[in-house]
Amino acid sequence: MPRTTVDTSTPGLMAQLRALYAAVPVGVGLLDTDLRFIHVNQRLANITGVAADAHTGLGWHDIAPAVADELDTLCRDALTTGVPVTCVDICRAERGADGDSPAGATRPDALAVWRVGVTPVVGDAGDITGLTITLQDVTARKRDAEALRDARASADQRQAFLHAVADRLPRAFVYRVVHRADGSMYFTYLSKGVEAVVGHTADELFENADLVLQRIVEEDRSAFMTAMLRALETFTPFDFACRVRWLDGSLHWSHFRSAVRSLDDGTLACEGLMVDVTDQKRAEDALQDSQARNDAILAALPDIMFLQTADGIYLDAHVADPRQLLVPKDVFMGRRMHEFLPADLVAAFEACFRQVLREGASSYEYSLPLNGETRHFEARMVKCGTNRILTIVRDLTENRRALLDAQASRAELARVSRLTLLGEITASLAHELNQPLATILANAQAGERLLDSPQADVADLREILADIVEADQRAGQVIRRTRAWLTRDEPIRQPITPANLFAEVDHVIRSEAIRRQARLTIDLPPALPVVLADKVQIQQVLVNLLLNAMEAMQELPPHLRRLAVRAVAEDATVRIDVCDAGTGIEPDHLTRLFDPFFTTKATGLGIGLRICASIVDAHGGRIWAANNTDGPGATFHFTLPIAVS
Amino acid sequence: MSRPEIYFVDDDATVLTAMKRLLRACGYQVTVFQSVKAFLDHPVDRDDRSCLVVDIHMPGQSGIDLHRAVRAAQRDLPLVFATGAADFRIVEQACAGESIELLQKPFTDTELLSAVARASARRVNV
Repeated sequence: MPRTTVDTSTPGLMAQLRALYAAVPVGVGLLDTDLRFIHVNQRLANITGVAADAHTGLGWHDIAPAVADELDTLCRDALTTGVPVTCVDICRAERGADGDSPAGATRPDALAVWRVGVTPVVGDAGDITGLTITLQDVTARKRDAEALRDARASADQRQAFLHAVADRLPRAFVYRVVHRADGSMYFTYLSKGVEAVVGHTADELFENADLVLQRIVEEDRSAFMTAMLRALETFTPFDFACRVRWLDGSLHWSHFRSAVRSLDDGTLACEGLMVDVTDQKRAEDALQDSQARNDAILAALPDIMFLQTADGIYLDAHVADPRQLLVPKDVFMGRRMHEFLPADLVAAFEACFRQVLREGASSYEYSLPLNGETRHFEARMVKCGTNRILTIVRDLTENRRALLDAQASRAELARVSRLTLLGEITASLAHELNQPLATILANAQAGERLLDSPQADVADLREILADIVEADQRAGQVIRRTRAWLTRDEPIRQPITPANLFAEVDHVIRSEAIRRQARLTIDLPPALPVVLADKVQIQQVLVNLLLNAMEAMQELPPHLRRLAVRAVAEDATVRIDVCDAGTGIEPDHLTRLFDPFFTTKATGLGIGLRICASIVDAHGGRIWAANNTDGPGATFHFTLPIAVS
Repeated sequence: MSRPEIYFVDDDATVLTAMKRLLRACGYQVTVFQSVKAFLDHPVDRDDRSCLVVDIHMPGQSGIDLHRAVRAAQRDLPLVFATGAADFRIVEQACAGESIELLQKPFTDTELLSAVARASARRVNV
C-alpha cells in the first residue's frame, strides 16, 4: 500500500484545509491509510491531550493507547468498506490515568466519552486515500443526559412513593384543595384514606368539597372557616384542630395542616394533611386531667413532702403552709438536712433512710420547736427511684391535742354526769337511808328506856335488837346499790330480764316519785324476752329519763303528775317507754334533744340525755322522743336488743 | 292520868313499830297509821287534843295533804312533820303563816318529845 495517498502537495489546498480544520467546532484529523495522523486541528489536540503538531506520523496507539484497538478497528472497517461511521461513543479512562488502566476498570464517573466519526477520503480514482476523523468529548453532555434520565425516573418513583405513602396513611389523608376567587373550592387531589376518615368517597368529595365542611361540628365550623380564610389571605400555613362528626355518627378530633400556594391561574391551593388525632387528644385530655388531679391532690394535702437524695440533699419540696417549715424552702433546697435540723433528728432520719434503702419504707415521729411552740410530726419515708427518698411529713399536733381534749372532755362529761345524777338522787337516797336510821335510833332509845324500867323484858329487848339489825341491813343495801350504781365505769353487757333491770331502780324511782308527788305506774308484761344490757348503765338511762319526766311535770298540780313506764317486745328488741303528762317538747327541740349540752332547763347541764343516747347507742339500740298524741306530755322510747340464746 | 295521846303516820311499818315502842317507853299513848287515808278514816273526837306526828313523803296522799285536810276540817290538832329529806321549804310553803314543828329523821327521843311539847303548847286557835 502506498504510504501516502492524500494529495497534500498543493499548497493552496492544504492551506484551505487547515483553515477549514481550524474553523469546525469539533476535533478533526486526517489519517493516512496506514492510520497515521497527517494533520489534526487544535480542538482534536485539546481532546487527545497531545500537541497538534506532535500527532503527525503517530497512530492511535501513540495518541490514545487505552482506546487505540477500538479506534483502529473502527478506522480499518471504514477503510475496507468505504462506509463512513458517523457517530460512535467510545469510553476511555480520564486523562491523567496514563493509559495503563483499562477503560472499564475505573469508576464510571471517571470515564471520558469520545464521540467519534470516521469518513473515508475518496480519491479522484474512487479509491480510499485516507480517513477524516471527527472527535468530540461528550463526557459532560453524556453525564447531563444521564442525570436528566435519572432525574426523570426518580421523580416518577418519588411520586409513586408519595402516593403510596399518602394512600396508606392510617387515619389520615393528603389533599390539595383549590380555592376560587368566588369563595368556592374543589379538591384536585385526595389520598385514599379520606373515605376511612370522613366517610365520603374521594369521588363524592371531588364533586362537592363542601361535604367536608358539613362534617365539622357546628360549634367549630365558623372558627375553622375563619382560620382557613386567614391562611389564604396571609399565605401562612393553615393549622387547625376541630371536632368532626363522621358519617357513622362518631365524634373525632381532626387536625388539618396545609400550606397555601398560588397557582398560575391566580387561584389558591391548600396542600396538606388531615390527621385524626382523637386518640392523642384523649390521651392529652387524660394527661391534663391527671395532671390537674395531681395538682389538686397536692394542693389539698396538708402534708409536707420532701424529695431527697439518700445522703440528705433536698431536691424538691411541697409545702402547703410555709409556717410549717423550720427553714424557708429556697434556703434548704439543694442543701443537706444536716445544715438545718437538730443533730439527734438528723441521726434518726439517717437511720430511717438506711432502712428505706434496705426495706423500701420507714417512719418516724418527732417534735420540733416551731413558731414558739412544740409541734409533733410524723414522717413516712418511701424509696423513690434508685437513690431518692420521698418523705411525707404530717403535723400531728392538732390531732394529738384534739385527742387529749376529747379524752379530757369525755372524762369530764362522765364525771359531771355522775355528779349531776348524784345530786338528783341525793334527796331520794337521804330519804331511803333516813328511814332505817330513824328506825334504828328509835329502837335503840326505846331499848335504853326499857332497860331503865323495872319491868324490862328480855324478849322485848331481843325483838328491838332484831329490828335494829334489820333496819341496819336495809340501810346497807341502799348504800351498796347506790355505790355500784355510781362508781362502775366499765360496761358489762349480759343477758338480763327487763323485770330484773327495773328491780334495782324500783326503790329509787318509786321514792323519787313519792317525793315529787307524781303517780307512777310501771307496766312490765310477763314473759318479756331477755335483753343484752349493762344493768347499771341501763338503770342510769331509766333513772335519767324518769327524773326528766318528773321535772317536766313539776309545774303541774300533783294530781295531774302521772308517769307511766312500760316495756314492749318489738321485733328483735324490747322497747321501753317513759311517758309523762308534762308540757311536751317543742317540735324544734325534738331532734336536738340528744345533742350534747342541749338543755331547756334553767339549771341543767344538758348532758343527761346525751349520756342516755350514747349508752343506748353503745348497746346497739335506738333512743328517740315524741310528743304524746293521746294526751299532754311526751314519751321517751329506747330499744335494747334481745339476747340471742 | 295518862300522858296525852300521839298519832303517828308513816308509810314505813318498821318506823311505826320503833316509834310506838319508843313513845310507849316514854309513857305516851300512841296510835299509828300507815297512810293518810287510814288516819282520816279513824274517828277522832272534836275536842281531841292529841299531837299528830306525820311523815311528809308517802305514796298517795302526803303529810302536807294530811295537814291541809286537818286544817280544812277546822281541827285544832298539834302537828309535827317528820321527814327523811331536807324539805323545809316545801313545808314552809304549805303551811304559810303557821308555825310548824319539823323533825329531820333520824331524831332522838328528846328531839321528838320536845317537838311534840312545843306543838301542843302552841296550839293554833281556829
